Amino acid sequence: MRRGALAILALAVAAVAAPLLPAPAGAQDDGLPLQPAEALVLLSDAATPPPPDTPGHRLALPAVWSDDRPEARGATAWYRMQFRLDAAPPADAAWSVYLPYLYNGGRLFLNGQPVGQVVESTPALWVRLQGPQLLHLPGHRLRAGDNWLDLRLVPRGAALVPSVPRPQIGPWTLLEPAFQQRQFWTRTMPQISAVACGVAALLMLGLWWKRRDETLYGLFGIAAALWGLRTLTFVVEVLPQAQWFWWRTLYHAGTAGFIVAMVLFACAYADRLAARSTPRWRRHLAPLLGVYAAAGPLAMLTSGGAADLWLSRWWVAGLVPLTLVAPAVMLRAVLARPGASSMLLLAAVVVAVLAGVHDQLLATNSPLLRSLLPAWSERRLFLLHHAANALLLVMGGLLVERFLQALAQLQELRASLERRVAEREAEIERHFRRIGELDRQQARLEERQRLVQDMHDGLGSQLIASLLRLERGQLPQPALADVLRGCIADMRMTLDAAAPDDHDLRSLVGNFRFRWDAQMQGSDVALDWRLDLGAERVQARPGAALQLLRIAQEAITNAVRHAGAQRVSVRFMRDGDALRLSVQDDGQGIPGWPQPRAGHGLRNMQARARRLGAELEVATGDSGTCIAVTVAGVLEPAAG
Amino acid sequence: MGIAVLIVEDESECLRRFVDVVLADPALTLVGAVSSGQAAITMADASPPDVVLVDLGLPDVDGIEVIRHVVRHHPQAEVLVVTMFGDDAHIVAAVEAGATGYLLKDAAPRQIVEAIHAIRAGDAPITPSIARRVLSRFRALHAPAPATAPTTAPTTAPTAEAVASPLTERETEILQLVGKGLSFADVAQLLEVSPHTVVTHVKRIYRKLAVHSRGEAVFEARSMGLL
Repeated sequence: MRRGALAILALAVAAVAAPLLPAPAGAQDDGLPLQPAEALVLLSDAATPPPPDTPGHRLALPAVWSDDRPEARGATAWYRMQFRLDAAPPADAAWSVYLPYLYNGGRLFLNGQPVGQVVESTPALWVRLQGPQLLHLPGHRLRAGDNWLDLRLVPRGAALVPSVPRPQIGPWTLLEPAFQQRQFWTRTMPQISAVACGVAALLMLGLWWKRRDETLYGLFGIAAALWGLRTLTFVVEVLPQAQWFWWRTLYHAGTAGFIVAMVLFACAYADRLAARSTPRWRRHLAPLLGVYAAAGPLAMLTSGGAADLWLSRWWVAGLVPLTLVAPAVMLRAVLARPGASSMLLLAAVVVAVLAGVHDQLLATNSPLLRSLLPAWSERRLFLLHHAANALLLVMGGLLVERFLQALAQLQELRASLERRVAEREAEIERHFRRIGELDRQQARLEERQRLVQDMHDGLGSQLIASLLRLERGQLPQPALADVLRGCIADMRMTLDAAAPDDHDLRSLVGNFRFRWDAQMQGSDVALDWRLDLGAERVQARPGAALQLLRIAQEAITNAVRHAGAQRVSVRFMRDGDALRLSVQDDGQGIPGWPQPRAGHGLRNMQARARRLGAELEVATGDSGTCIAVTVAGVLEPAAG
Repeated sequence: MGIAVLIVEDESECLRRFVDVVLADPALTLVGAVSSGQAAITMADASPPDVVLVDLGLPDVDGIEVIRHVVRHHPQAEVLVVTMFGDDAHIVAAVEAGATGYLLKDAAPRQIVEAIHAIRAGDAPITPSIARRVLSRFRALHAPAPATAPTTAPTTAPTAEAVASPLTERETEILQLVGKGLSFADVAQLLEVSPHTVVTHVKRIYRKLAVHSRGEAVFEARSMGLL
């Protein structure tokens, strides 16, 4: 995906750049475009072409900037170039002259007639044009035989003599493609770069503002910002002379600042790659670079612009060795830990350094470059613009890659965290299940213990006592039957209370009542029931219901058997989580109360009531007995 | 000729007691007193009884089988299941098989006679917990199968109950009231009907449970390839 995108980008760059590389000169069989190889330089401040007999000197084209050219004396110079046409083109033919560069603007005359004017430097206006010029030549002014072009150039404020390109003359359609290409690379591209650098710098500096320890973002932001500003000085080509000085200062500051930021970026990146802190030898690199970088703009400011020429030649050249730190550091990093990203950065840095050197040689008209690459140097194409753009792209790409990597790591971290949380949750759930299981086991155990205890205390002791009395002959048969009936009734209650699927107290008390009703049916004792247990399901604490029912059982049995009652009122009343039981009869009362004879089971009832945390209330007299007990905090909503 | 009573009980003491009680009542005729399920079935077929007292824990055939046989071949007969403690599980199983009432083994002679007469007169005893069990049995039998309709939750609303089960609204209401611990008299008063009507409803409920549990059993057996 990313490789595909890179390949497409490379192809696009190649497609746009390709026409720049082959020299268009002499490419046509018919000798077009015409390219005058020399010019006659005439010095004249006149507004019209000087007469042919004006003294001048010959100059080979293209003519590079040089101090020792005669026209370098602040005079207006006319560059007269001759070309020959075998036949005059039609009067309405669209011909043109293509000038790859015309840095200071100027005026063009064809056969003595003005044909074009490009904005030129004046004492008030500073002009530095980066783009090519394509000027229209009217067909009717061209003639068969010799023609001559006059290019009038005024000197710029300082004693700088401009470079003069070799013009190309031919039909408009023939020259326009080359013009458009160069226009794109020298005018459009810097505009795009300036905007893109500004946006990228804002983004990265914003990011850095939030994450101060991410030095790479900050360095990239600074590099992009400075490079954007430097590029801006190429985009804005016409300035009032007064502003020019600041513009140049900004240019120098941008160039040097970019180089410093780029070198520091490479160092920081290499350190990050090797996962180490800054080596000691490099601790002073940043201040050193900073001082050198600041020296240029400072010199500009203090000299009032006079140092510009000197700075352009020497101070900028001095940046080159400092720049070399970047490829050196990156090379070491790549050798230590080879990787596609770092190799890409290394390549971009190397290309940028080479481009910088190239541009410096070109700008200073170095004889070295001219002798090595004469045809190339003639075209005066500056490369650092593009190499720096590419470098910034690579740097930004690396940052984006780092960002994406961090994002991916974060996602992975979160996924693993979620996984671990899920595992922990499952573990906790297992623990809970285990605890729940243990609780249930505990509950079962307690239930069983309660049943055993219950049988031991209740049925067991009753049966044994009865057996002993029977063996002593003290238990007559009707009494024995009573005992056994009591035991059976008790077991029924126990079974009812232990029913696994029915915890509703209403149904438990209902069963109790049902059995008593069945038992009392046809007898002369009337049982009057009142069950105020509310409308919703309610259950008693484990074991408590059974104890209460037993108290009720004992009380009703006493009333029916011993007190000779005719009417027994049984009440179960719920009051919140408290339950009150009362059994009221109209019998003869308990003889000898409060010290009753044994056998009335009163002690039993009292013991049961105490076990429930309550006190048995007994009120007895000639007109009957009332036995009641209120158990607090015993009720809760039933499950299921 | 009184009410023909068949007693099926394997405990001799119990059997003797029931026999004594039946013989003592001139309105009852003992047609048989047997202590095994096979004998009970033979006996019932030989001389169809009006009322059968049957214990569930028989040595040869399950008492439930005896009840099923009697109900199927002698639909006029009423079955009283004899239980030790009146525990719900046994009684509901017996009701599902077709019994319409139950007797406790320790019941007084008077209670036994009364129960036999009452069941002939259409009585059908039901305790609160049995009422609850019967209700939940109907719910289990008529709740849609979970696999086919997992979203249909069992509901306690009487209207939904009426849709899901063959019980009428009134029958469901009675079961719910009895399940809450109310006596027949209370229920009758609450619903403004006679106690007799309540009993009739309960009996009908028992019949429905028997029919449906049997139908269900046959259906299940068929779907399992047993029939």
